[in-house]
Formats: sequence, structure tokens, C-alpha cells
Amino acid sequence: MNIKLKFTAQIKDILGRNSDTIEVENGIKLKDLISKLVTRYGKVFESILFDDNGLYRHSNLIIVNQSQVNYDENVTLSDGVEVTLMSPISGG
Amino acid sequence: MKKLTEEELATYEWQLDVPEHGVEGQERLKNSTVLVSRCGGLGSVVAYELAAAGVGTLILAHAGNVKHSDLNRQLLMTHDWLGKPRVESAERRLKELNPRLNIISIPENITENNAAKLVGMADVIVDAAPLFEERFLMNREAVKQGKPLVDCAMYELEAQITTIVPGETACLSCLYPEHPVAWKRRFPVFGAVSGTIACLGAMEAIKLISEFGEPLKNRLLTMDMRTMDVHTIQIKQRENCVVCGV
Ligand SMILES: [Zn+2]
Repeated sequence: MNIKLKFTAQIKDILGRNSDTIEVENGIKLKDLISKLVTRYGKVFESILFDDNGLYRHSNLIIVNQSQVNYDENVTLSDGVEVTLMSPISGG
Repeated sequence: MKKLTEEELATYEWQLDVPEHGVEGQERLKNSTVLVSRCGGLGSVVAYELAAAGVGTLILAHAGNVKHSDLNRQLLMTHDWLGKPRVESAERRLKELNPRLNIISIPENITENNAAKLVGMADVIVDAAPLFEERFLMNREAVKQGKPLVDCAMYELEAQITTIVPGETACLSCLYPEHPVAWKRRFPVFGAVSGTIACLGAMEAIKLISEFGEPLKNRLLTMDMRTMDVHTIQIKQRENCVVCGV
């Protein structure tokens, strides 16, 4: 199945793109998706999302379709969902 | 509550026609105090719109003097005020628009030393600070004191806004429980982007004070002006939030 990905702010800057699509196994869990993305996008991406101890930095928001989900909830994702990774912004 | 004068009735004639606002809502605006910090690209336009709408008192907190690099977006700062205090420039420009406006200008940014006091003086806070440290302080004090806070932010061509109502909604620390590591003080900005989200922030403040419409409670409105995609995302309170958690 396919998952649509969107990225904002610093995450978008690091990846040099604001969207992508990834093919994953049916019924993939959120944490497994994020691991796949770390493999796909590399170290700098990983350092934004995870601290030195490998813990998720919860200030990066995860949006599934139009709702925020917590990383630790580890929701199951279905075909065609859109997952947005938002890094926090504070420009005034 | 202070009533509207003849001059005010004439000035706000066209907005008095807005359903559910009317004279009563306008009187609530006149009797209200809004804290805006800072008055940069975002806060300048928030303050200008609130001054135009007839908010009675604005508390403006912003340190430093006007620089060339402010002038692409900080619309209360002008070329002739270069090198002079930003809050003075802001005050002068707002008074040109609305001489009835009461302004409390503080030539400081929000810090641990002034946050509780400044939030305490306001009915509504509009958070337009470029540093998370300042945002988290205003959020903490707003939650502690039960004051609504409109949080507006932007980066490059992206912008977002949510309205925090203590006891009813997620707070800023629910959204961002850890210090954001990737945020840098200097951010790419067009004035039209900060100004757009500022107008939404001013409208949220007006709705909260006048008591009409549906503020962005537990909703984060996001905009990408590169693609003109606008979304409203459901956000939620974090159980173990250090600021608003029980
Ligand atoms: Zn909270």
C-alpha cells in the first residue's frame, strides 16, 4: 500500500522537498513507518526526529490525515493515508 | 463598562453591522486589554488590526531599536525611526490610526521577570514571539492565570495559528513538550506571510473578546503560501503536560 508523506519547515528544508510517497506493507504501524523514513532519508533527518538516546522528539508533530497523533500511540496506518511531519515553528 | 462615544459609533459603524458583534461586542472591545509580544512582522500587524478594530488598551512588549532588516515586515517600524526604540515607533504609528487607543509600551521582550505581570494585566494574549522561550513563558502564565492566548507563528511561506483557552484546550507545551532543537533565531520571512497570519490572530482575539464565532480551540490552522494549502488539524491535550496537565 502507499502512504503520502508531507513535510514542513526544517524537515522540509533538510529533505529538500515538501512531499513524497512511500510503498509499505499493509497495516504498517506508525513507528515502523518512521523507521523506514529514517533509513530512506538518513542521519540529519534522524537527528531532527530523535535525540542521542534514540528517543522521539515529541515537539515534531505527526499528523495523520487531519488529526494529530502521538508517536507512542503507534497507530496502524491504512492505505492512502497522508502523514505529515511538522517541525515546530516560532517565526514572529 | 465604558460606553461608546459618538465618535466611536461613527468610526466602527461598518463593523457594528457584523452579526453577533454589534454595539455590545464593540463595547467589550473598548473595555478590553490585549498583550501583544513581540511587535515584529507578526505582532505589528496584530497590533495594527486591533487598534483599528477599537480594542481599548494594547500592551506592547518588544525590546531594541529599529534596524534596516526590520523594515521588510515590521509594519509599525519606519525608515525615519531607524536606531530609535521599536516600541516608540509602534506607539506613534498606532496613535496615528487610533488616537483613542491606550498603549502600555514595554521596551522589553518577554522574560521570566515580566511574564507573570504582563499576562496578568491582559484579558487576551497574542503570542508573536520569535523565540520558543518567550512563547513558553507566555503560555505558562496564561494557563496559570486562566487567560486565553492566541499563538501565531510562521516560517518561510508557512504559517500556523491556534487558540489556547486554559481548561478547555491543549496548551503550547502540550503541542511542544520538549524544547524544539531545530529552531533558529533567524528565519526566512516575507512581510505578507507574517501579516497574513497576524490578521487571523487579530480576528481570533476580536472573537474571544466580543464573544462570537468559533475560535481555533484544539485546532491548529496551517497554511503553506507556496502552494496555498490550508488545513485545520485536530490537536489534543497531553496527559502529562507539565504546564496544563492534572
Ligand atoms: Zn498543556
